[in-house]
Amino acid sequence: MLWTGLGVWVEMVVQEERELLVFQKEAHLVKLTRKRLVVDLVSRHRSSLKTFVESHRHLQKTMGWTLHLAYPAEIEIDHVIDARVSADGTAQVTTKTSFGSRTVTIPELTREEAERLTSEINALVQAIERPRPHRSAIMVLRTQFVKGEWIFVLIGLFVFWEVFVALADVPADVIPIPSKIVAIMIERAYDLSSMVVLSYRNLLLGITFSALLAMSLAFATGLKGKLDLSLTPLVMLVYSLPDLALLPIIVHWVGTGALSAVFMCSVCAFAPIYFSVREGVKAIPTDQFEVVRIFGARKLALLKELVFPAAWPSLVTGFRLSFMYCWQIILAIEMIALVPGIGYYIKETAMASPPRLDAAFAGMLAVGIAVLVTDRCVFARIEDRIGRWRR
Amino acid sequence: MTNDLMELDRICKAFHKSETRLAVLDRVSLSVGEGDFLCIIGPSGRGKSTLLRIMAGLTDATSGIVKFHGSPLSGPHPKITMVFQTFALLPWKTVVENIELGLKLQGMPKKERRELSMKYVEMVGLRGFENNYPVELSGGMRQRVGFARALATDPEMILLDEAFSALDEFTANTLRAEIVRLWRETGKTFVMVTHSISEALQLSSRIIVMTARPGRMKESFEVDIPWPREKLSQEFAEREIRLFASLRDELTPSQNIGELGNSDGLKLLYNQENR
Repeated sequence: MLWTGLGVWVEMVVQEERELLVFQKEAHLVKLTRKRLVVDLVSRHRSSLKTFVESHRHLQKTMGWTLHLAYPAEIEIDHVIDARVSADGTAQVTTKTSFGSRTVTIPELTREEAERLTSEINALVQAIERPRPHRSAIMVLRTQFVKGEWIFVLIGLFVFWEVFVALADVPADVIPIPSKIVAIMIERAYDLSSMVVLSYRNLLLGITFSALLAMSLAFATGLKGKLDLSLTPLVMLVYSLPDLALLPIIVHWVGTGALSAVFMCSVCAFAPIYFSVREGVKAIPTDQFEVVRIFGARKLALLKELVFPAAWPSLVTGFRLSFMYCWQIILAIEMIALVPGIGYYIKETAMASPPRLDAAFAGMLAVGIAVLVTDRCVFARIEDRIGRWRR
Repeated sequence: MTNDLMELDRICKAFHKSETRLAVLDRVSLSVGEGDFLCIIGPSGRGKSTLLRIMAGLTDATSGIVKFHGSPLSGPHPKITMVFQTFALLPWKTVVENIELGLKLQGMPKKERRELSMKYVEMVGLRGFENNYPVELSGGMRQRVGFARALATDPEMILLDEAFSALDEFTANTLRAEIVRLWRETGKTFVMVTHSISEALQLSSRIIVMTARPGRMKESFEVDIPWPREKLSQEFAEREIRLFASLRDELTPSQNIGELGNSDGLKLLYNQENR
């Protein structure tokens, strides 16, 4: 059987026991048999043939090489969306092109042949189609932390430090011994992590509360120019005050409990989120407002369909900035206002007599790990998703 | 006339900037018949787009009345949609989600609107791209999404705001031909704003020429060239020359409008008022 309509010809020869497929275009030839695959390459089409063969490779398992018909070479299987038999019995293959989709009619087939061809092509498409890779948090961790040479550099540094401290005989209350730090981290893993969780909770409570407030205000000022003129200078003013100077005042108001840490975090988180979201809202093009409005969206629908999704990336940025900054702040609060948490632990161990610097370092490292893991597993992932629709 | 879909009666529009008052439209009266393909033509910065937005109910006229189906228009109407020069797609929505935006906002249940919008995906030739984001599409494909979105709510009147001017000539021509076919098949009413004479002649059944600011209606041409229209034909060329002559008079005196004279200035004022 011969197709000539596409400037290619594909021939199918059925021999006694094996099925043989000859796929020929210009100077290259592929023979696909039940037992073996013969690739005869003369021309420059090496790479395109390679993908052709590779896309068939997993048919080895599912179909045992019993491929009866091939699609015309002009149709790239990766771009095929659908193949179907039309009412008049011709095979029609729809492919993606850079201008949209295109449907090619394959000529000179009987209805039966057309049906076989379309089902083969659809099976191929099914076999090739891979789901969009879903990156779980564990996978992110693995790619971010396990791969790469940095881990060896780190280990090298620790070894160097260990050897240096041992050789120079530095007392442990001046520079702690790294193996001791690691030992404490393992031994007191539960205590350390529960203290980190405690600080983390206060911090998140503070930022979340602040984010809700900052977001609503930023939506209002980002949308209404007049409100922006009267409110934003005030936010600037508060932002320019030294945050830590507020601490004694806050302690005076709410006491030294966890509440002061939450309060302090929400004060410090406000400005980065506010300014970021406000910029995000201001940057929404007028035509996007128009298109949502022309379909009848008002107030709430406008916020839900347009303002919130448009400002989402800047909210994430603002939240990320605040998150980093608030860790500095919360450690300071815990040390100064004696709020239970990892900061308090670091202070207590470092100022004990004799000072236990190894424990203090272990505390610091625990914070570092918590921040890093959050950044990589939460923020980096969200930004990854945003990157799919953003330039 | 009884079959008038939209009537504009002495529409005036002025923007204010501190103490200056900028008159953009001055007593524009026109009527759009059902099934018309009306084209409003004029050089840029003449308030054409503002006029279109008044017709869309997106912005209010300073004075004058817009009537749709005989009753005054007081805001966006479900039977009027618009296709934008800048496509105005929501970048975080996929092709099909963008197309179903209108249906979603009009409260159609998810399954139903997805099914319906897939038909429009197919109609504009974007099958296989329904789950792509706008950023992954070419300009022509993006505008196809724009058209599909405008058509999905089954409007009676579609406003085109220089819908083809951000596209390359080949893509624009293909799309224009498709729009003409669509218009002839569905009998929907189109109003297009453009500054391209040949585009206006290619598409419309009637052309209105706007004067320099403040924008007034200068002339109205019936375009009676039979379809399909051949750009190189005698009758096309004759009308092109006539239109150009009419427009040429409006090109020169525009130099003295001052700093707000350019269309960007106008857009800025428009944006300030309509956010």
